[in-house]
Amino acid sequence: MITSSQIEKELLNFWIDSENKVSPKKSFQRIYTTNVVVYTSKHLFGHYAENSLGELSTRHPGRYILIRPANDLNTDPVRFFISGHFQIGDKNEKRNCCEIIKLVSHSPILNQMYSFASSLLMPDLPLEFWWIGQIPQNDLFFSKMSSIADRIWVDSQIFENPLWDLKNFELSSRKYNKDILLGDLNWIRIYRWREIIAELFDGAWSRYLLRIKNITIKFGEGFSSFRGLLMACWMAVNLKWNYIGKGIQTFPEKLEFQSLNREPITVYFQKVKDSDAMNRLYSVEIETSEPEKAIFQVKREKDPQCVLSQSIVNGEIIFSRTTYFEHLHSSQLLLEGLKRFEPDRVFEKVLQLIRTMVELHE
Amino acid sequence: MSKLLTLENSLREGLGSQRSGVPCSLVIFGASGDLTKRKLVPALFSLYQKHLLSTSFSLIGTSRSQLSTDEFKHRLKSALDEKIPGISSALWESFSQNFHYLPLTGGFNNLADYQALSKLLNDLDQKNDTLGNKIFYLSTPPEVFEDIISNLGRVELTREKKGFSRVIIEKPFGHDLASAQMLNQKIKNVFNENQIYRIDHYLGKETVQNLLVMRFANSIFEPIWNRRYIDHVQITAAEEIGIENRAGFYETSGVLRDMFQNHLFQILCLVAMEPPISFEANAIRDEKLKILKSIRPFEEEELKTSACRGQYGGGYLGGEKVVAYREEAGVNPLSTTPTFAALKIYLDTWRWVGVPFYLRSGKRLAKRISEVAIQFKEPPDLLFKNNLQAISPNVLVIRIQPDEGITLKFETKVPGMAFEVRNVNMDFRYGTSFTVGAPEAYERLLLDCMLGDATLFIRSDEVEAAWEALMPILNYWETTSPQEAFPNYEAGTWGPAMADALFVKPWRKWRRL
Repeated sequence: MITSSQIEKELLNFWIDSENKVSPKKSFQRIYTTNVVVYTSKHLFGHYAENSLGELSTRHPGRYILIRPANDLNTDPVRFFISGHFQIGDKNEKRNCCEIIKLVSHSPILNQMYSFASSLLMPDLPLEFWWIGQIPQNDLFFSKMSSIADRIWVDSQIFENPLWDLKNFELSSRKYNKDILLGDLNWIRIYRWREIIAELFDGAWSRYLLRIKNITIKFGEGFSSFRGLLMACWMAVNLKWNYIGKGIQTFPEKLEFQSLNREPITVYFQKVKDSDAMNRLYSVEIETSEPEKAIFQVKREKDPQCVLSQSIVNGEIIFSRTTYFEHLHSSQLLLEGLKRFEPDRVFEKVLQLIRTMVELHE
Repeated sequence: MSKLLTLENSLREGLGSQRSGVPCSLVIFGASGDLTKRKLVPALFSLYQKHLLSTSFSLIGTSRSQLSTDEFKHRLKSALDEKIPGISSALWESFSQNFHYLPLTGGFNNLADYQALSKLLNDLDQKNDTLGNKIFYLSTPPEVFEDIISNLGRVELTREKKGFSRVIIEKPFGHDLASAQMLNQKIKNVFNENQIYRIDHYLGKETVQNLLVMRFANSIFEPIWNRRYIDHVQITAAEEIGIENRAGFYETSGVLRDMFQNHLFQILCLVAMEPPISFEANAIRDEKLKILKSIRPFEEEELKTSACRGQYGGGYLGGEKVVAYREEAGVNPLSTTPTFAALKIYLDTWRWVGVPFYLRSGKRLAKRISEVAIQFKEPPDLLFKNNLQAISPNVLVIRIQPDEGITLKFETKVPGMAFEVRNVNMDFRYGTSFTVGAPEAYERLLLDCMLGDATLFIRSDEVEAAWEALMPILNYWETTSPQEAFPNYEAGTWGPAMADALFVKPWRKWRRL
């Protein structure tokens, strides 16, 4: 039987050996700022999780524990693999390192490994729990790890039914731990878009927020526009719009809201011919009512890493900005998410709004 | 920091850029100079990239150089390219679209130039909706501060009829107490104190700000942060560089004016001050002022044992030969300007009475490092005296630059059968513990000024109190010859040997850095 002490001992020896072999002149320093536990019950996601953690551990010092299904015929009930990562600083005398512990098993043992994973956590450090898969109704690992985690991460992009899963995300997680923080990698994917859109309404331009009439969100044909829905909900939540449309079960073509001054606002979702494999948003166009008609738009340029944001009032371009940002991979998204450790109240309100929209249908 | 920002833009809620700059125009006097290229524009660019610069932001550069706006922008772009390679022309265009340049036709004292500036600011306000907010950054020699400020007053740009009007002033804030008082008075003739932002970039450094968090957000430190547990404190700001091209300035200022009156005394304040009643600017500045006023005045006799001065001779740094101070271009070959100083300071407060604070700073020292070291008292030598070497005292080191972080040195047993004790370090490094890099000091300070948060800027009474504390040493050094003939330390070393004499107790000595 494998024990956590055995793994810790192996890790210690591993670092002593590595220090002697790899870096005899510079000592290693094991650094942890957080615990990250990642769980998936699918082979496909197991590989994806391994890659993501491998990248993340080189950027963010932590104790990483991955629980994934075995993808071979080995019949051992549980196996473990350790790998170490160190960052080479230019001037640092010490090399900072951290490790990934991979626990591999077959179902049904897999979801019973919560206590083993818990025994490997670094004490007193925050616990981030990344659940890769659909939101489960009843899963032992999910419930046990949620009950002790500080935050749970999901990626709504991989949900088969994102509306249903996000509707249940908060309820399912907080059933076991009412204080747990909630995170969605897809929400972080649209972070920069949100920032660019918000920027257009700074200062005197905020007066247009009360006169928004229509929003058109465009996305590539053949892809899910769930990010567009998150975007629309984000604006609705921050601008305190009421949802007045019908209940939704599948992805809608439009959403209807009412503004604080009781004016109707319609959000349209439009498909455009765009073969971007990354499934990114194509554009967000915000139109205000007369008399001073204004359009605020953020649009992806030919270079997919480049977006153009513009404020156009009465047909005249008042402000224009080009912003470059790289497509973030899962590890980078999680890294962005780990930077902040406070409740994301706006996201929670977005979840509540989605729940309202879905429950209206039910 | 104070919550001065009330956002109308509710879309910012929940975003990291929630504390973003308000619409304003920034006017830089002396914009063709080094500071604009090296620090200010890179800081603005970084704010822009982080979406912290308002979309209604304008920059007006002005100086005596006769440049067009295009030439001005071209210079800035070239300088920025050196610092951040690979900025595309589209990105630069969108960043600099509201940059303008206004050459001064008659030096800094031609009213017509200020009228033109006023008109340009009005036009930009109309065009960009800057809400009438304006900041004037004086990046000029101090001799022209008065001209600029009085002319701004004459064209009423200092009045806050519509929006705010603020002025940022770079050090030196005067040359001595009298000139500082005069300068303060002249500025206050046209600006109110709450419009004045005296910048000390040291206060914009993350670790300096973290001093307050470390002291007042951790319950373990405050109970031992006093004379009962602390033996002494060392504050070091060492520079590798010489005077570079600043001979004119340095010859008339020296290390005390350049480093102690501002940077070192400000750090001293943050280390020693009492907890403020709130995290508001004036509450913190009130406490800092008390520390400056509590510095025990130096008697002339004491100066021989409490202050040490030095000047670098030639030597080697990084294996390369460097010249002596007196051989630097523009320096008097017989100059007695100190390039190194070390002071022993006592604070006459209930908390610190009897605890010496050792401050040192110099040019051409062995390496660039700034830190605060709190050395605790030794434990009673009872338990281990028979089988051990002397036990080292605990030291808490707050590194300001480079490699910002905190280290606690403590004793531990060496594994083995023998009872051997050795000290080890427990390290916290900003660079590794957080995945986000610390912003540049100017970035932070420019944003704070836009938001009206003066916490990290220096108030006039602080400036004057710092000068008052320093004047006895300045007067003494300017009227007496150094105890040791200059130069008295070799470039690439840790300063003159006589700096060690400030320590009377045998267990106290300068930290080896």
